[in-house]
Amino acid sequence: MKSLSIFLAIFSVLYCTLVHANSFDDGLKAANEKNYKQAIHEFEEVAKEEPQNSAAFYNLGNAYYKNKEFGKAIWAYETSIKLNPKNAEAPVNIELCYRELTNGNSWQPSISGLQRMIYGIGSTTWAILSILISCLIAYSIFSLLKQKNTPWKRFHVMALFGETILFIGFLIAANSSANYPANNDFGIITAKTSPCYLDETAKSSEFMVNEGAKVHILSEKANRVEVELLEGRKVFISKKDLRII
Amino acid sequence: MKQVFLHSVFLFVALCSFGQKPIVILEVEPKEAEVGEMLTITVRANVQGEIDVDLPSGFIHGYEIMNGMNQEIDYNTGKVINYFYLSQNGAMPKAGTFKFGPAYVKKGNKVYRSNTVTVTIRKENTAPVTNGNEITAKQLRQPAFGMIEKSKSVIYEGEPLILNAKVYSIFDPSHLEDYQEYKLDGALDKHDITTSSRITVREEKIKRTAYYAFEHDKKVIFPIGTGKFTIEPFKLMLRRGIEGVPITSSSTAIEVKPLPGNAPKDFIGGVGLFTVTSSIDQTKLKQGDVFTLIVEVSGYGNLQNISEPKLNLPKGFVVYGDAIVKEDIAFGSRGAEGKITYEYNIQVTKYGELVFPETTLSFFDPIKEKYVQISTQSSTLSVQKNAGFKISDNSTTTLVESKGQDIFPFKTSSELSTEHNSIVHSPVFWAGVTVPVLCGLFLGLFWRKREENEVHVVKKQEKQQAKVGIQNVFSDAENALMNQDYTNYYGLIEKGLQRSMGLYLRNDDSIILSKSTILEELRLKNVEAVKITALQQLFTSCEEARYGFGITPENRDALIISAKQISQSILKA
Repeated sequence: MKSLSIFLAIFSVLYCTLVHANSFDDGLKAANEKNYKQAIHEFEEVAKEEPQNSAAFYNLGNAYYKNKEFGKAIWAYETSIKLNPKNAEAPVNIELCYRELTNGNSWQPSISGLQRMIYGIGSTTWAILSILISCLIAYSIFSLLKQKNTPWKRFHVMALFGETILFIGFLIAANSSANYPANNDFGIITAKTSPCYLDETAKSSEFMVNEGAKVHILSEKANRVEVELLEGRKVFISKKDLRII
Repeated sequence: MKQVFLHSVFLFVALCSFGQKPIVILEVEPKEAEVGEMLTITVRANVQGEIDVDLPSGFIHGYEIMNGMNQEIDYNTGKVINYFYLSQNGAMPKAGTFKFGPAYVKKGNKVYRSNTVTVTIRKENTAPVTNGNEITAKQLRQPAFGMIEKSKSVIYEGEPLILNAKVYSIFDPSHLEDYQEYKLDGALDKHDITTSSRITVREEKIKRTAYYAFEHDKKVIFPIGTGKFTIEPFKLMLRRGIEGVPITSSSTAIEVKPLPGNAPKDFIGGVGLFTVTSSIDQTKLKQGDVFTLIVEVSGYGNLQNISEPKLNLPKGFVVYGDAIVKEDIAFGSRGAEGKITYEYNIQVTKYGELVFPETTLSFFDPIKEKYVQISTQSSTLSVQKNAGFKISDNSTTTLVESKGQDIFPFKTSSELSTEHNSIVHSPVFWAGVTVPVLCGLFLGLFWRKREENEVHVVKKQEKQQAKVGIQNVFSDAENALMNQDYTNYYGLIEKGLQRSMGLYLRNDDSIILSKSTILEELRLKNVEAVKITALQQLFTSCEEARYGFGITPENRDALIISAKQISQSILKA
């Protein structure tokens, strides 16, 4: 019985991996055949199963772009950038999407250059660095306690101070990098135009916001999402017009 | 030859005199205004002196006068020029065309003259309207009353609103005091458009009754937000000589409507009437050259709040940096009036006869109540091929250009984000960062404790050895007694006692302390007085035996026993 369950577990893992690999390859194949609707379907499958797959979202963005669905393409590229902040191609492709949309928007990075660098390094690297620096701290504490009243005492105190600051910095970097993909702070308007309402239940819209516009998500309601537009106005937008990054 | 020389000298002198020519510039803004609308007159000169301006008769001086100095760089010569300026405001009380200036700068015996400026003053054709219905019967029964005049009751969001305080009185007022202005919630963007220095009283009739009336505190306001807004009343004390009547005006309301929802994509947020023009500094270029495009938006309305027009850049043109924005805006009865210029540096990356397309923008016309699109003229550029030109890849825009406007290709392999299996939230990570620190702490403390123990043992052994040494000294003293070597006997007793006290007081028996120091330090250490007295007696007995009258044989033999007992009792303590 035990052997059977192990076999089933291994089989299911292998099957899933194989299916995803097939969807990814099928997506590429469909894209090569210029069957972009099929490519969209395949890459959406991969993105659904592997929500951490940056390349799947990037390719999904390319498929949407080729299918002239520029708002959705921007959303897919933005998600790809979020998963892999070092991705240099996606921002360029987003600019091309905005150029196609010709609504005056341009790519606005969601995070600063420093954050991009920190998240690009990755939480695991920061975690390993934190562990290494904690070993150095351990050595400094040990040396400080061992060599009391020696000329090296001042050096060890300074070293311990510096290492502690680095340690705190690395911990913050590791933690924020690990939490960053889970933050649903921004969204992209994927409808051609989306009406903006002043409150959750308003029936008449005040103005329209164009496809591809990036909005800051404030809160999610039943059918609408409260967002902050780039110019700072807070409005409600229908959920169906928006995809959250 | 002589002529050439004379021409050169003449040219040199002319250039020098031109380079050092004093500059006096008179500027008046705006060039077109309404009666009572505030004008700003500025005189700028590169020579310091007494400044005087010829102003039209009837010009009402405002309170704002500024003077000072600023520095500007002449980009042609690279020289820094100091400009002394005098700025003052004021208004014209009647319509017509008026010549301002010239301004004069007197320096020593020399007088430098400026240009003149012609300003057109028109009648108050957009003056705030007085709605007769807003004057109540109660107000008409009072000797004086006030009301807030407004240019419109319903405006669009962004449209300027002109407000002023209006006062009616049955007596001819001399002046006003304690003026508290009218208030409109959300009117953060407001500007004075008349001088508040004087009141101009005229006669008006309301329901066949003649009143003295005047306007005051005229402002242009750009309400923020939409909906209905109440304008809170103004208050003042209207004086005729020393007599005064307090006035609290009636309040009024306006409605601010949102703009229609079908805003064009090139809408720049302007509400009013605007025009756009553009110019290119050169039309014959080489591939890779950078030319300057100037787009000028002029008109009136909420000009100060418009956003930058979006350029319609075709393939082959790359914008470098942000546009340089220059604003020349004055606030008047038509809102913000003037022009904003946007200067772009554009590189041409293709060659041939290229058409630089028109720039379009839209604004909302509140009179026609619809969006209006305006555009500049397109330009044709003649660009020569430059074989040495290569597109740099230091900007995103250039990267897009070099890619031939196509997206980057599909990725052929999966790239899983490392964050999906991050170890940060696992116990392994937290154990990894805390265990080494705790290990270092405990290991260090353990090491320290061990070292302290070792030191303690060594010290204990040394003390034991010292005690044995002291016992040996006393044994030598006993031997000296048996050998009747009394001088040595007393000396060894003193030596044994001093070593004992050295060990007790300084933890080192090799330190020989003087007798007085020993006794004093024992007292400080609160050693029993009996022991100190006994020790003192022992030292005295030894000294008397050696240098004095001697000692009885019984006392002599007892000295060694007493010395050993005191030494042991003090060391035990």
